[in-house]
Amino acid sequence: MPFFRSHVLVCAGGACVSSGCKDVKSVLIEKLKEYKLDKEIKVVETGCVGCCELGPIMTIYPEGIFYQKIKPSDVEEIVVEHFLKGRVVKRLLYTPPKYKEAVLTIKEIPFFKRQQKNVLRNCGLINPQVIEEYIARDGYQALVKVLTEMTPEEVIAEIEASGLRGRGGGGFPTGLKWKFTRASKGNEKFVVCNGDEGDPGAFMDRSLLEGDPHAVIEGMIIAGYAVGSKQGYVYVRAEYPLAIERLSWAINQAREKGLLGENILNTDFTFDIEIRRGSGAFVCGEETALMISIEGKRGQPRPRPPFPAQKGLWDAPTLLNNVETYANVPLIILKGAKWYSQIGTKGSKGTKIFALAGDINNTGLVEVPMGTSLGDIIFDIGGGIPKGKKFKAAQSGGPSGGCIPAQHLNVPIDYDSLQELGAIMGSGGLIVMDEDTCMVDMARFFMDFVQDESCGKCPPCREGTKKMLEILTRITQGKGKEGDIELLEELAYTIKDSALCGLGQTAPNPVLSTIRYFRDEYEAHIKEKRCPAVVCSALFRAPCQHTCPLGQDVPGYVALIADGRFEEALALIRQTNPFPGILGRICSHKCESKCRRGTLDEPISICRLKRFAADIEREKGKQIITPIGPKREEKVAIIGAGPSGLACAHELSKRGYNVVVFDSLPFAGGMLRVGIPEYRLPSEVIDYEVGIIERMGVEIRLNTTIGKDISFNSLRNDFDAIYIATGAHINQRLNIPGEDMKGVLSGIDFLRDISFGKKVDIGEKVLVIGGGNAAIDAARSALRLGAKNVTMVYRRREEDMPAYEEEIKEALKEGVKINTLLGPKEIKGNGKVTHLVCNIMALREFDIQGRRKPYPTDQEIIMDADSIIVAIGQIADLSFLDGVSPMLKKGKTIKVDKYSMMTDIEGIFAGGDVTTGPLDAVNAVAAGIKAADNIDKYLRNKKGEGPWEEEKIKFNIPIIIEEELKEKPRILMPENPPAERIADFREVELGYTEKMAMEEAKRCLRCDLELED
Amino acid sequence: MKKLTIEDLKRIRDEVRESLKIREGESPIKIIVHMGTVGIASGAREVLKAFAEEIEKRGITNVTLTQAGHLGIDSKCPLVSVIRPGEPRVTYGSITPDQVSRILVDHALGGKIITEWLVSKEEV
Repeated sequence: MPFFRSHVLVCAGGACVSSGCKDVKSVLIEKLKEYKLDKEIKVVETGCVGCCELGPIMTIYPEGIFYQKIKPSDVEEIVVEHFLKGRVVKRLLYTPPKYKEAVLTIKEIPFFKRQQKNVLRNCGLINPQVIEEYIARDGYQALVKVLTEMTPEEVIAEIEASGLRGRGGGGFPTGLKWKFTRASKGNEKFVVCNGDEGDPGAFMDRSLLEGDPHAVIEGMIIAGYAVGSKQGYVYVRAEYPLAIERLSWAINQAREKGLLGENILNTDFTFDIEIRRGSGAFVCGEETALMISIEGKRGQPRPRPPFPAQKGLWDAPTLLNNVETYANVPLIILKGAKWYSQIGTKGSKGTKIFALAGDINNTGLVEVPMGTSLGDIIFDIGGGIPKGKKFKAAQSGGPSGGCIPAQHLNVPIDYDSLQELGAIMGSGGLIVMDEDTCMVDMARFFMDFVQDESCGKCPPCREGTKKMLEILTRITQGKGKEGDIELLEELAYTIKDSALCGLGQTAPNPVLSTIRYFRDEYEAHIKEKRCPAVVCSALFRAPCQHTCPLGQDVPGYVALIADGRFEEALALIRQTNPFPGILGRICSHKCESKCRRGTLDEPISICRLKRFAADIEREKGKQIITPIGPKREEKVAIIGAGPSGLACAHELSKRGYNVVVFDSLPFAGGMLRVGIPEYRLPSEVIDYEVGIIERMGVEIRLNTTIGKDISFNSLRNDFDAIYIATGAHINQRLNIPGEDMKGVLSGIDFLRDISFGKKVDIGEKVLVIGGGNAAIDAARSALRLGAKNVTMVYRRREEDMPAYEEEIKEALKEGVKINTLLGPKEIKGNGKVTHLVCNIMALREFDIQGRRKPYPTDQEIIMDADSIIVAIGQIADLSFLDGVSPMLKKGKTIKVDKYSMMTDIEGIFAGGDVTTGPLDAVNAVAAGIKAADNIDKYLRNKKGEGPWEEEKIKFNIPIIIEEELKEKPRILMPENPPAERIADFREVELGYTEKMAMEEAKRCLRCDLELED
Repeated sequence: MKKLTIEDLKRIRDEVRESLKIREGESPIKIIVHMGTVGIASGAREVLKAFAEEIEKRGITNVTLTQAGHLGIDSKCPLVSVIRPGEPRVTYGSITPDQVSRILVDHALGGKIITEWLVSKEEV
């Protein structure tokens, strides 16, 4: 045999063909000839390798070097550098997600490492159109064994013993089905292979037919022998022309070699296969409709019994199995049922092929043992979610299946385990969805698909799914009604019970499943006309505005800034946001994560543009006056002068109420003032915006503690309503030995002391335990107090830290070190702290939020320290409510009604961190404004008055759109250089200039605009 | 077209299997011909071709033939390295096509180092 020193395997699976592998291959052959390498290098076209995201690809053996995303123009370089000169073309190598460097060989790619390619063992490794290569890898040896050593009954017994279950989704024990078919009486029997594969997003069967068709053929011949059939049919959808081409070719080759037809391999067994093309009807994947379609009639299901095994194609006993099921058969015969049954779980044996699609880094084909967890497939093999987005749910089983949310990532995937969760494994299509997916819209999509594909024969499916689709569509258009969810559920159960075939019976599953896990999303659409994922465009003007808890008119104020009308921009902002200067500096700006510009280059700098507008006014020294409505009699007390309390005060005062705000601290601002350091939020910005509220007539009584200076009950007597917004100011304890030693500081106390101007002595080496914003604030503040060495200690990975990404980046720039996967175990010292002992953590299964749980290993690290700052979270101090009413508390927070924000005591409201636990400032501000609205409604109701009506000034928003859309990243925020700025607490970000702001604002795509007809 | 018998199937399998082994990855025994501008100029490609011919002639399937970059010893090109599992990595210098069969048979397969042509021996 001619020796080629190198084999180049070019993937020619469907996806790679679409990306242009044919051109790459022809240039390769041309260039190899040109450089006289064609006798040394063998070019092999193979089936799907699995990593469909990376095509066109080349795997070069014997080394296994892997090149990806190859263009025809790259080929000459590969030939000259790699084949001629032995130099790897580094730029074509693959860098897996989260890896710092590229990998050289295919073996090192994490996507492949955890897979077990049994059924796919030839796919990507052989040329499917060269039967000798299939034979070389033990192809047709199973058939030899069956024909020469086994009786049909023995074959069936082996398949039964293996535990193989139908891979099309039904999961019926394959051996049993073969047994029934053999036992049926009839002169003529048929073997049918279901290659319709109608599930959107599924391409396992296609890849098998394209990449290793002989495995399916061999499986069918063995099945024919076992059940007593002479004729097989493969039903492939016409939308798979490549699969049909490869399968046809393979069948012809097999026939030529005497592996199909009469007297196979000189035995007296006869079997042949024909291909039948489906015309793209989803219902023809259902077995009874499929058989009727082969008979030439319109594909419509019929009731069962009789099952195909008794009466199928042309009323003859028919064995009907899925492509992947047949492909498993040669393996089981060759290696034995015992070997096969050791893979997988108790009820689901063997491996399963999955098609990973959707919001996932490594789209493609995956084969794993049954029982592998969903989380392992998505994160370890699939590479996780692109662009750092959060995992939301995975749809398993296509339109017949259900969604699996983050809290169930540990579920082992097999036939039975998913049923408890309201999902099915189905044929193996796994569609991964991130936080930008609307689950209501998703359910609507699948229902739309099913409605389209319904054959129409039975009313439950024909009429029932139509009604369900109508309701779902209404909900996504903002026309949802109370009772819609219950109606959907009722319809769903009725259809499941009464539909004729599997299509109808399973059609309601995606709806039921999304209601089960994401009911709050349905409710938001119906009750609040809000789409939390910001997808259902009928419910919003612009995604940024819809995401903002304050509903800020972002496109409006950005356009005004672009036009140079800064004063109007600020006035528009202030209509819904009393703290533009504050929030323009420290907001979590989730609006930017939904900004459509972000899909082009980078999101608009919405937050910092807000800061710009606020600063322009403040720097002018302008005294903003907020107009106040007609004066009212009622008095409202607000406990807590933080963002929530002050926002409430501002809103109530606007509506004419007399407001008194109480706070224990000597200054207003709450956590904004004592938790966020000056370098992020200067106190003069807070003072300016608090000043505006004071000028409205709001009385702020500082240095006054409710429960100490004034009793809570006396407030109840003196005021008509109370809003509790005391926040969460108690530091969470670590609860490890040594925590109370000198030198161990509470993060909250540390930050508060700094805000008071105290010179805290922390020494040179500081450890900060925690991973949130407070921990970062503490670390960066420690640097500014003179610590030479500041290290953060966090128990998970850096990507899991809840702190803002930009804060982590700045901290690292300033020299803060972050040590991850360390869990504090003990603090050691001699009266004063000297060391921190930590366990190295290992990540294991997922918690209910979808993050891997860290567990201590027995490896320890000891770090020395002069001070240790503990900043792992905050809880509320509810001691001032002692003796008031136990009904008020719910664990460590105050219990309130979700919509009215009232506690169980009439007239007493609460909001902000004291009810939710620590959240972002903007949520606190939104809560304060909503509370004011609720209090206003409550007090007006008492007097029988109608609701507050506000005349909001309308602004003339200009339309300034770039004529030609070019990629252009956001204007960089000028900042004080890291090495200099850590000398003190000067503000880090310098703010945009007028020119920068206007240029940045012009990048806005104005998603709020609509075409006029 | 001739129909296959069971014996034919076995025969094709055994014949073709060897030529597909290369796709299962590298053998533990490796012969590396070092390329690079100096290497190629001094005849490394001819040495590579000679190894390929010898391997084909003798029907050897348990040795991987591969290329690598320049090793740095300009004066001794073409350089050829031999790796056997558990043994030190040996590099021979100034190799010509007619020396190829000895390196293949005596060292790569037989385990005997050819000291006359030795340039370096590295413990792995």
